[in-house]
Amino acid sequence: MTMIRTTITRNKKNFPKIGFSVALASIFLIVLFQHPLQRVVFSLFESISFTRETPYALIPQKTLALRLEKAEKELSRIRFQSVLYEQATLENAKLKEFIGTLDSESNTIGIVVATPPQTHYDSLVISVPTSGVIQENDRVVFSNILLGSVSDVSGRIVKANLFSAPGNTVDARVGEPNAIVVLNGEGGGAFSFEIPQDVAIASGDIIFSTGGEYIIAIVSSEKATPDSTSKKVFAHTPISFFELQFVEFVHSVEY
Amino acid sequence: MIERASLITIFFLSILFVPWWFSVVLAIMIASRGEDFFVLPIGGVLLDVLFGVPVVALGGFSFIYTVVFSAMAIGGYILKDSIV
Repeated sequence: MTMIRTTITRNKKNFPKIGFSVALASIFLIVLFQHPLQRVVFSLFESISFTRETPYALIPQKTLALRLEKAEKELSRIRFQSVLYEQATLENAKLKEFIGTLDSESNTIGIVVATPPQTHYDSLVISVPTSGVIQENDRVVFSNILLGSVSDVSGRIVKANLFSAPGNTVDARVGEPNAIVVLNGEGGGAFSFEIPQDVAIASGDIIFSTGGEYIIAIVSSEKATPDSTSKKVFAHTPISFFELQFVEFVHSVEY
Repeated sequence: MIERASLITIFFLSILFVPWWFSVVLAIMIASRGEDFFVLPIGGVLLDVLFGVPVVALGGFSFIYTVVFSAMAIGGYILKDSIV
């Protein structure tokens, strides 16, 4: 009898504590979901929970609504971007058509018939599959390496003057920071140029065309004198002309 | 006679198939003989027509070998005429 009384007394003592806890939790939840700061709490909740792919059934309705709103905004942004990209593509195509350039896929490939030193000049003799496609001053490219320009076209035979021919000059970019230099052809695939001593350059640095798309030469050595503000740099083409079998022609405005 | 014909044949073949320095050596040999006056200018024209490109250093002139080989032929002819 005494034991029964003691249990009832304990339950009566615990009841107000449980009721207080439930009431406090209810108030907290009401405040939480009605307060303007709930978005912050939802964001925190999303960042913690949604990364683990919580089942949709367990996500509160308001959170789902927020996610939907966010997704719709993202979708409209992507749609707007795709319209802009489409416009840019069309504009690019129109500009290419206007200046008469071809896409790289449609560039003509030619078979190299003769290379230096067999050609007696620093020139290439190239056979092309169809006549009338290649024009004078078109650039001759091999595997992203800019070699020279077309100097003469007679039917299906094209003669290209290499940039490394003595007396030839070509603009290029080299060094860190980038400097625009004028490469002077020295013959046999060799180049030389003057560059300010402030421009850091090392053996093995790549010399790019001014557009940055093609490689022209590789730095082999440099010669600096203390009494001069510039230094002389020597470079060479990255390939041996003797190994050339095929080349590609790029319209001069593209390079 | 066979030696002369062979030299001329090799000279023309060298224009087509071998490096420039080999053709120049053969041109000097032909010029030193002082006999075949027109072989060297013809070889020079052939070479320039086949491979010649405008040389910027010479103002776009593209017949260097014609001029050089013609000068060699004239020089060889004059030397032989004055010595022999």
